[in-house]
Amino acid sequence: MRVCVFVKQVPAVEHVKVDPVKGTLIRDGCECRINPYDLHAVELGLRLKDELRAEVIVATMGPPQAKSVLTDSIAMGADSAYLISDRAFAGSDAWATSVVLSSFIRFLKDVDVIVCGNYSVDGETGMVGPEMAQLLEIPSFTYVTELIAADNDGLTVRRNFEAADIIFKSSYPVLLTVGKEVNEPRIPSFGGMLKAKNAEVTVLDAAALGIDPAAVGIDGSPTKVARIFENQRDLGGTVFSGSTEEQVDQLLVILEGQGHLKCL
Amino acid sequence: MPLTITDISKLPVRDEDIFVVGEIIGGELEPTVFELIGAAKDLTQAGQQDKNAKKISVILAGTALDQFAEKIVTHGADRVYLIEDEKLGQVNDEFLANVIYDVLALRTPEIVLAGATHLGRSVMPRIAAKFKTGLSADVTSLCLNGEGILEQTKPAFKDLIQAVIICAEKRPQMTTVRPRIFAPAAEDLSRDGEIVFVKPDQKSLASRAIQLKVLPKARSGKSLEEADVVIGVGRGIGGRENLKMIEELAELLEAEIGATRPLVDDGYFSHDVQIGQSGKVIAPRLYIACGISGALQHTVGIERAKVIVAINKDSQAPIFKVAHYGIVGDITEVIPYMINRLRG
Repeated sequence: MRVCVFVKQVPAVEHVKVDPVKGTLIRDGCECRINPYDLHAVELGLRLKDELRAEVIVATMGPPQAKSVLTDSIAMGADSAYLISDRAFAGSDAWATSVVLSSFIRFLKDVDVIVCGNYSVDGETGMVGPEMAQLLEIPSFTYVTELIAADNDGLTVRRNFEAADIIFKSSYPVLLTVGKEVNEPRIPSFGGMLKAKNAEVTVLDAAALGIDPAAVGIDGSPTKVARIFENQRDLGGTVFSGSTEEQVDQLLVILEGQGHLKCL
Repeated sequence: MPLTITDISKLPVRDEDIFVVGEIIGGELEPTVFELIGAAKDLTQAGQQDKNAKKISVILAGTALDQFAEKIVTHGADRVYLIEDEKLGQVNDEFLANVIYDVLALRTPEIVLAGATHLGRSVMPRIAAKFKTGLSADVTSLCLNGEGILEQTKPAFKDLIQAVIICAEKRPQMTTVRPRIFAPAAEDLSRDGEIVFVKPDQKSLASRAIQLKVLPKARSGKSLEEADVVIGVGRGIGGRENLKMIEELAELLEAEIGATRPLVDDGYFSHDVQIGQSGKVIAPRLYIACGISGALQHTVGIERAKVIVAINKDSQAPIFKVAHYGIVGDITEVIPYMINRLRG
């Protein structure tokens, strides 16, 4: 059985600011780390390795420094690592990223299970997993909170929806996205960390994957960020004045106008 | 109230601009659909002088759907597509993506909206991939720019930043909308509209995924995260005897009550109604902060509320910086007066 886990390097959230002139993110010295949900994705892959002797391949699309999230995953126990990297991929939105990652899956061949985190803490879209599954024409199970069972024919999961939890099963190949509840990621052993230090990461570019550069990156992305701005910490809201009665009266007129008092 | 039934083949070409995708789980209609209709109406109103105004349509996929059609029309939809098949009685992301795509591809709208629920966030990407079009997720604000293109605004990096996303060329422009940000569309019982029954292509209903069991979650009263209106209580409440007035106000506004950490630590409230960094992040339509100073640990839990009202006797309290409306006054005077006015 072959499992491919996709991981992503993300900036440490607290360090993000917007350049007011350029309108772009200022990432001071990139304090980067693995997307937290991806650790749980790697752990799920490793469980399939423990129970079914699956081969666990871990991969990331990113710049050269993204290598560190791959070596972290090898330290946990992944068997091999791929860095999917090319200048042409820069600026890819979810669609373009799905094109790249699904090309990689086709390149690998015979992948039974693809695992991702539910979303990454920078973009928080959660779209790449299902888009990739659609391109590969395989079932996708998102918001997986439990891997109930897995054998050589298929797996059974619990998915979390707001109104209900639902149990599903599927044969392979299948794509899963997971949240924090699904497992406790293992701490790398000393042996694992040594292995990671010496691990070879295979680097693949657009040519190696047979990807047309125009189909990915900024040019291949249907969406663009038109602008970004820091969230207003000072809303500049209305503070009423006058007596208690006057202030409350003014507030209630506004709330009624906005439709908040329909229950009365 | 008469709902016309129209055959899909008889519909005028391209007379819909915006499609709203509704969601059915466990046989129930997810209420976000009414918020989406409200959002769609705001968008169409924006450019609305001409009589050739395009329609707002809603799509539902499932079984026994006609029970929902009337309510959807009275909330502002012009047309409701009901895609029905026995196989749609189970949740299947591939089925939903395929059958919804089939209708959208036929009708070619400009914009498609769905709720950013777990299901919406799972199915919409599959539909977007079929169209090879752009999708944004969990947006909190929508408007049309000068060129009539949809500007999709969403918070990122744990709400430190807002990003405005556009899909300039590909169509449809698709987005999932965060629940409980937009107000539900007002109901007008005199509205009429069209129903279109759609029998899906069986080729769109093939999948290796099988639903085994549905485990509904116990709905014992609304949780804080689901409440439309929340009243937050802070240190400014004073003694326990003052909680009664909060409860009265909550009852009048059909609100849930939450609290800041100090009050939970002091035993006034249990941890599961704590709002803030180490508690819950809520996104109600209306949040009323009573006697809360506005420390960052609390305000990160409320910033997604659509309207924030703060009541505090200290005019310098930081809470007024994150509130849309502020009343400077003593809770023990403000709340009883407010209750009186709401009752009278």
